[in-house]
Amino acid sequence: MKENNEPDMPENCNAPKPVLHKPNVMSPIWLLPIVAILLGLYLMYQSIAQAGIEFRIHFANANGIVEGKTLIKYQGLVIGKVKKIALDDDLRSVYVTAEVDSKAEPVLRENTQFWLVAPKASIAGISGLDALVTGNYIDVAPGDGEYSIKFNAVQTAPNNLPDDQGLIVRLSTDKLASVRPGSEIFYKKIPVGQVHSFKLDKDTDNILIEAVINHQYSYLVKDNSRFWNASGINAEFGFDGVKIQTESLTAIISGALAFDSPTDGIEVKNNQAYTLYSNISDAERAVQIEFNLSNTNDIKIGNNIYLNGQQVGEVTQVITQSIDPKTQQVTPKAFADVDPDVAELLRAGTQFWVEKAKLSVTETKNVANFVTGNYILFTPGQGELQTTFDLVSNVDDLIPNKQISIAANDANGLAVGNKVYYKNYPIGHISHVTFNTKTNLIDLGVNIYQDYAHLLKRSTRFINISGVSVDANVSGLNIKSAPIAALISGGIELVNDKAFKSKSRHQQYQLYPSLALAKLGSNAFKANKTITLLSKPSHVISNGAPVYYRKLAVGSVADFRLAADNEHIVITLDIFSQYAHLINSNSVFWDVSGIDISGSLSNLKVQTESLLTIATGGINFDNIKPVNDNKVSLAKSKATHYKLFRSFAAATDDRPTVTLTFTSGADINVGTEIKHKGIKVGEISAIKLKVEQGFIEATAKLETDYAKYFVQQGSQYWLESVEVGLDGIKNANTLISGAYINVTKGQGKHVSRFKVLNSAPDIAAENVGLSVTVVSQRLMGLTPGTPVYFRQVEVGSVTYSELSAQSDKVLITLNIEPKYQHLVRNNSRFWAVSGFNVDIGLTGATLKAESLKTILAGGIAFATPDAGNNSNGSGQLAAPFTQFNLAQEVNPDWLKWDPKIEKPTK
Amino acid sequence: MQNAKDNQIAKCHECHLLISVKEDIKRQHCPRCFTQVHFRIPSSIQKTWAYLLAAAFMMIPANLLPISTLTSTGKATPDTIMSGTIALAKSNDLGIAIIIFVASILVPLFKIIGLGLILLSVQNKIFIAPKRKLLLFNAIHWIGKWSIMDLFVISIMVAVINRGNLLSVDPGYGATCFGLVVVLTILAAESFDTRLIWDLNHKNERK
Repeated sequence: MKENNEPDMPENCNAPKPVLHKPNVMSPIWLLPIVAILLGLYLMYQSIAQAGIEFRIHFANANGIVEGKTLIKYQGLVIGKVKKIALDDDLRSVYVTAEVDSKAEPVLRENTQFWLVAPKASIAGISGLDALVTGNYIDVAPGDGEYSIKFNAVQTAPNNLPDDQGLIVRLSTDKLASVRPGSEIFYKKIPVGQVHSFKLDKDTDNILIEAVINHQYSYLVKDNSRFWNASGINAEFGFDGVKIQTESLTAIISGALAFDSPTDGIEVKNNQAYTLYSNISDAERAVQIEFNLSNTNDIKIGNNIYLNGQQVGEVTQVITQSIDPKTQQVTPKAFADVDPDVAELLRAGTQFWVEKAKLSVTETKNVANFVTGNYILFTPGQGELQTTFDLVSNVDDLIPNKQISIAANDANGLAVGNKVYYKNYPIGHISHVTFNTKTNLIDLGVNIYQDYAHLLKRSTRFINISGVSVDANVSGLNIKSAPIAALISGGIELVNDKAFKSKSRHQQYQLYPSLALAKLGSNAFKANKTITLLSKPSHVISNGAPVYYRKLAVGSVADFRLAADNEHIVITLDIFSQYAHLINSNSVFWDVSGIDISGSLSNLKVQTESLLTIATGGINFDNIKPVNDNKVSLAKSKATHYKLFRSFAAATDDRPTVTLTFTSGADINVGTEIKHKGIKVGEISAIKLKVEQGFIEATAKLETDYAKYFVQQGSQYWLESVEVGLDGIKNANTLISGAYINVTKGQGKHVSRFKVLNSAPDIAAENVGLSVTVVSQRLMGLTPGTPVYFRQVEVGSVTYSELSAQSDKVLITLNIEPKYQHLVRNNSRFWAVSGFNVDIGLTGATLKAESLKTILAGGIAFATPDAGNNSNGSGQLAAPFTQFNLAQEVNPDWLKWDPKIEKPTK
Repeated sequence: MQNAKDNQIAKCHECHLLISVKEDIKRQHCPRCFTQVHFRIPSSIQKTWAYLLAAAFMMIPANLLPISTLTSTGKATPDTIMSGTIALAKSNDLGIAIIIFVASILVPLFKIIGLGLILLSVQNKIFIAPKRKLLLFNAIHWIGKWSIMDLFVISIMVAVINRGNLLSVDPGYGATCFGLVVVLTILAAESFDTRLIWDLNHKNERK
């Protein structure tokens, strides 16, 4: 098997054959195990190199340390782990064998400190919170010295200064107070640093405190800064109560320091020494200012000065008599120490005032002052720096204002401090209230703030707006009130109205009790007109009850007393002077007290004059043509009084009356209506029981327009009340609206006394329709109301039934309705259709009945024969009360009658 | 008994085409897929040895270095294969412990030692019956993929158990080494040409 292109080689060729050299070269694949060896060695080396260094820590006990679990952390980084815990040889402590990362080797120095961090909660704070989750761990504070692998653990975290975290200051003090490591250092109440440690200086017996100011605030510490203790609660007990002062809640618990930062100081380097003062006053850094007091200032030593709610100073000295060297005047003075921080604000325009406690119904203000004393507030000024200020007692006095004087008739609850409102916006206040003995008026000194001084015009009037104004009328209830503060404590409203414009340029302002009076101007101050009324004691009237004239309050009840006859009451009214002219001989007074609820369920009327009248009663009057006597005089007395009517209706009611008598008083009462054809024509106004005579007498008022028809002979009155019968319910509406009295028109002489029937009279009497009488052997259930049929059409009804004179028959009166009365002829036949007929025959049963109603209630039917032979007069129209026989059964012939009866033309 | 090599017939490694070649097989390419044609995998024994030795070396860090680090409530617990297995056995998961132990420790060892024995035998240093060798090799070849199971478990745990400081699992260098052991043993098995077993036999026969 040789390829063709190769040259043939003789088989016996002796030429040496090439030595086949089998290459014995190492395959490059052998690099792989070398790499693997190197990699493995490297990894092993790494893990051995990082295996860590074992060292021992000597702990008092092994509480909270777990073998193999407890970590060693440095700056929060895990650098090692506890390997083993073993008892020390002396059996009093334990050795913890731990291993740290080889990289952390530098921390293993002689002075390195180890301590156990465990979660700890105390009043000063919670620490080691992270240990709750991660478990206890051992913290490290690296130290210096030789390499070491044996350590003693410290009990608590050492107070070593953290490196490069801020400015370290050293404070010396004679007592530590509540300052402890971790106490905060405040600058303007901002925490800017922490106390780090303290130690007792053996030489000076002072306490040296090391504190760190955070890096970003370190510039605040100046060479002339002063530090003071702001720890805990600073309580002082004085005449003005207890003064409690604290920096912050944490300051109470864990103590705090504060310092100031004078602008002229130079920034300091680490380890600057300062003295720690026990409080801000001792730091003597406060700026002293001087107050000129006015008499009412009422301040004491220790009163605080606040700015924006922060205490910035306190009164240190009050001199009640200091002689001004220049003017030789004796003025009280006070001195106060003010925080240097705010000294910049104390300029020429700065205004100080005293905030006093105020406890009233309208306003509870600074109640704490009762305990802590008054305090001083101020508004920063703009001018030059200064240290002497006037102290005013009322902040409102500081507002630039225009002083005016208002004369008032009575102080009426107005007091100093009450506001002056314009459109319910305070524009000023009362600065003083004095009684002017000359004018017998109250002089109100009022400060109108400068911004609103332009509101004082010639058309200005002042109104006392103390209290509530309630205006209730048909259109609704209107309660008008000044701001709630003015409502209770009083206030003055300024009103500008062109109508008020006075001629004089310099007017004396007066205080009007109300806007209505203000409109009257000076008239309001004239004396009121007094009139007297005489009334029955049934009226509810109280002093001060309003008197209205067409809903306008024009006066009030001044007094009321029992009249000499011990029966009436004499009421004295004060009518405002400006309305005095309204009282004249035509004046009619009536009571508008309380609420007048009248009417029935179907028609309820609630009426009241005003809310005030509900409570206090009220009197209304008007000038109308008196219908009744509007003036009365008591017996044995010449003085005449106006009569006080029960109501407007009573005062003006001139409707004609009619006297009705009843046999029973059931269903009637005052207000029961009298109706004619369903329309109300009057009502019962009074009911009297005549015991002796045995009837009831009622007085009814009839509507003037209709009265004449119903006070004539022939008028009939009867009581309509509900009737329940087989054929239905009559007057069902009276079940709800009550019974009423029906009346029919009469003709004839005037009569003023009527007897009221208990039921409707025979309608025949009314001349309505045609009444005929049928004579029957028995009544057969034909009660009044039973229908009368003609060709099964209901054309009338039974109205009455009675026994005949000999009691052998029953006389039944029928009433045929007017439009059907022509159907009744003298030859008409009547038969009873009560019940029904049942014919039972071979072909089945036939039930005959006039109508369903007749099955139940019975009925009467009639038929009229053909009026063919009119000659014998049998076909004439039947006259009223014609008597017919009532057949027991219908004659079939009658049913065949088919006359054509023309309706008579009217 | 003649084998293919005796008849100058080589099999392409890629497409398994039987090719008739001359004695000088160098630079001959498969007419079908143009791969270089050899009678046997070139330097198969060397390659296998190299892979095997590399795997054997990697076994050391794979078993000594932590294969995974379990962090539970801030405490990190590194586990080597063996310590993890022991921990499992202690926590009553004996079945799983046995599986892990077999898959992670016994199987790689078995592979390395088994392949080593086959190689020594092929190189005529020791005697193992050819059929046994083949059986052994097939067993090694088949079981090779199963020892990756441990890494598979770790990778799942790393992905699933990840609650930050509360509970998490992180792989260690041991896992890397172990992965290399598995890969290297598989490569070793792949680079061994089983025909060498019979070649040896063939040679002995001919002698």
